[in-house]
Amino acid sequence: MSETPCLEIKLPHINFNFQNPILNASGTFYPASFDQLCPLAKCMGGIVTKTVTPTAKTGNSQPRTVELPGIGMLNSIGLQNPGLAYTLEKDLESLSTYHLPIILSIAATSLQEFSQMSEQIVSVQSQYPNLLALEINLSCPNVDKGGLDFGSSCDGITEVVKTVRDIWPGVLWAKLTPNAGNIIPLAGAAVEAGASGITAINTLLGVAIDIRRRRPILPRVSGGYSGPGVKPVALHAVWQLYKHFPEIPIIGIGGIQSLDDTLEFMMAGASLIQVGTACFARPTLFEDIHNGLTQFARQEGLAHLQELVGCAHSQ
Amino acid sequence: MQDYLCEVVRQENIGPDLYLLSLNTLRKPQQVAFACRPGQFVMVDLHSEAFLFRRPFSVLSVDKATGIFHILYKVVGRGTQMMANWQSGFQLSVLGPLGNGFSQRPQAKMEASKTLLVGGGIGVAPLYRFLETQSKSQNQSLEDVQCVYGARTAADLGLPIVEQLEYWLGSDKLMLCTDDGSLGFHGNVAEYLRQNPRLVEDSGHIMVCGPTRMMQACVTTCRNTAPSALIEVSLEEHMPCGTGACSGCVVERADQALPSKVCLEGPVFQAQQLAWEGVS
Ligand SMILES: Cc1cc2nc3c(=O)[nH]c(=O)nc-3n(C[C@H](O)[C@H](O)[C@H](O)COP(=O)(O)OP(=O)(O)OC[C@H]3O[C@@H](n4cnc5c(N)ncnc54)[C@H](O)[C@@H]3O)c2cc1C
Ligand SMILES: Cc1cc2nc3c(=O)[nH]c(=O)nc-3n(C[C@H](O)[C@H](O)[C@H](O)COP(=O)(O)O)c2cc1C
Ligand code: FES
Repeated sequence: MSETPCLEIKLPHINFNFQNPILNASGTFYPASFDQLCPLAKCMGGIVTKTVTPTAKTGNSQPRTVELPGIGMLNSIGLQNPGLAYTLEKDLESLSTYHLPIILSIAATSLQEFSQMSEQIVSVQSQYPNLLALEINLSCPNVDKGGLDFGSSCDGITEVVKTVRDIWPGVLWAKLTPNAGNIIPLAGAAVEAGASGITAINTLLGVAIDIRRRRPILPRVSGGYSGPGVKPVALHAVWQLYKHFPEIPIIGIGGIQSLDDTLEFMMAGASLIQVGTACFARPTLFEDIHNGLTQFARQEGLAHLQELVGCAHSQ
Repeated sequence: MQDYLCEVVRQENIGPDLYLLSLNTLRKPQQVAFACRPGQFVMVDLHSEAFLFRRPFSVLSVDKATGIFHILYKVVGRGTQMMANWQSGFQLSVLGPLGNGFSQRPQAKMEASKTLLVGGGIGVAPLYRFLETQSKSQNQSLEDVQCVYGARTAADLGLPIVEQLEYWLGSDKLMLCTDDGSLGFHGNVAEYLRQNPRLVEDSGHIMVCGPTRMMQACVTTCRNTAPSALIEVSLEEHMPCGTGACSGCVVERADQALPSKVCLEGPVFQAQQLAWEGVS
């Protein structure tokens, strides 16, 4: 029996090793339920929170989701969340019980809000040693710029990342949208402004029509497209990012639903991966991927899983 | 909650597009049988790449001795259409039990001490399970329980379901309604309640399950007629995950600003907790 391979992932410049590369995607996870089905403390490398905003948001009206046969889903949840104060007081405490690094996903609609949120988070940081990173959800409208998403321009990204970076001393990931054209300049802006990692991708934009009623199914017409159909788009983003920024950790996300998908993302350049839509039907997927990675590493004689990151580029 | 590997033991067509699916849990301990309260549900994996989400179904009935449990379902779309083709021996994953379920009967001695069950169509399933658990419980009896059950036609009620309800309740405490008048009261269950206020007045605990409009109409009548009764409704929302992960299944609340996830905090709610338009 060979030794258990090391699934640890070390990211540059931080004094912390993820015990494995498996994270959940923001907004698609409920730890208390999933922990009953697979032991999170063992199977996951960290937990990403639902995106929180400065104050509570009630979200959009129903229906909020559309199932797209075979290819994925649309969602129009509208960032329903209890607000930052509640999350800092209650959610972080319950998340800490899993003894995993916590990645707090944040969004706001102005630089001032981003700045205030960062101050609030920093002020409780010492209470939550597991709070490792912030992930900025850049797919949120900037009210000072006519509601255009911060993430849709280099300037918007620079401003937000700089604002948070000035206050938050820890790990900072910028989660990019695939809806704003070439992702490389956007990522460049985030890195330049101080992001220590790039999460890619958020959902694509999509529409579904109810042909019987002759109108869009979602009340707000467009929704975020996720699931197996977005995987090649996400992999393309990860590939490009790794090629241009080999030193910057990439957190790959989009359509991952198996061990093989995970391996593809890592080989394309992702140090860590996030699983979203696929865990709705298969909440035990985290454990399946964990066991699969262990077995794969053993079969391939990998001493460290980290060796896989970006390996497809050197072929 | 667990993800159980199950096997189809039997599938019976008991009415127009109406199926009774019997499942046996394999391998894992047969806890679906022990833990499932009336009103709780399961998420059924359709095991086909054509579907992304599992489908939620109430547990109709559980046989503790064998571990076999039953789901009553209506074919309404592609997923349920495919389920209707499942044969004995077909294996599938079933996640459950999920959700909160109905409250226990209020213990306090009240003037209005009866329990009233109101089921529309497939909404009879969790009420059936309530009667089943009640009939097997040593310190509860069905003496004070009455049930109004309606569907479009007599055939849509499902004969085996009606027979079992009659066995538990006797024909005097089971009121059947059909939209076309082919059996029992000619009209829907909400109309029946409006025309029979005594039934509602006598009830301290009312449980309603069925299409949203029907539940809203019933709640309006019940609130007006029995203002102090505990009125519970079991909601049906589209549920991508069933585990609280996606925030896709929410319902607006009358008593708090943030909507509730139906899969996690429900599917059973007290009627006054809900911000239902047009319900007085
Ligand atoms: C807690 C709970 C318990 C349930 N118990 C039972 C039960 O015991 N028996 C039973 O038969 N059914 C029950 N249901 C309903 C059952 O889950 C659905 O009928 C089933 O999921 C339909 O699947 P389908 O693939 O056949 O239909 P689909 O093809 O998914 O859709 C059926 C219908 O719903 C519409 N629809 C699809 N997506 C949406 C959306 N996002 N928003 C609004 N409308 C949409 C479609 O247009 C179509 O008319 C329950 C539901 C819940 C939430
Ligand atoms: C129901 C739902 C809710 C989501 N909520 C958020 C969110 O709050 N914040 C965020 O950054 N991304 C959110 N996302 C996007 C996911 O985190 C992820 O980027 C995307 O779904 C692609 O991954 P997947 O194909 O594995 O789902 C959401 C996605 C879904 C399906
Ligand atoms: S179905 Fe996903 S939160 Fe309820």
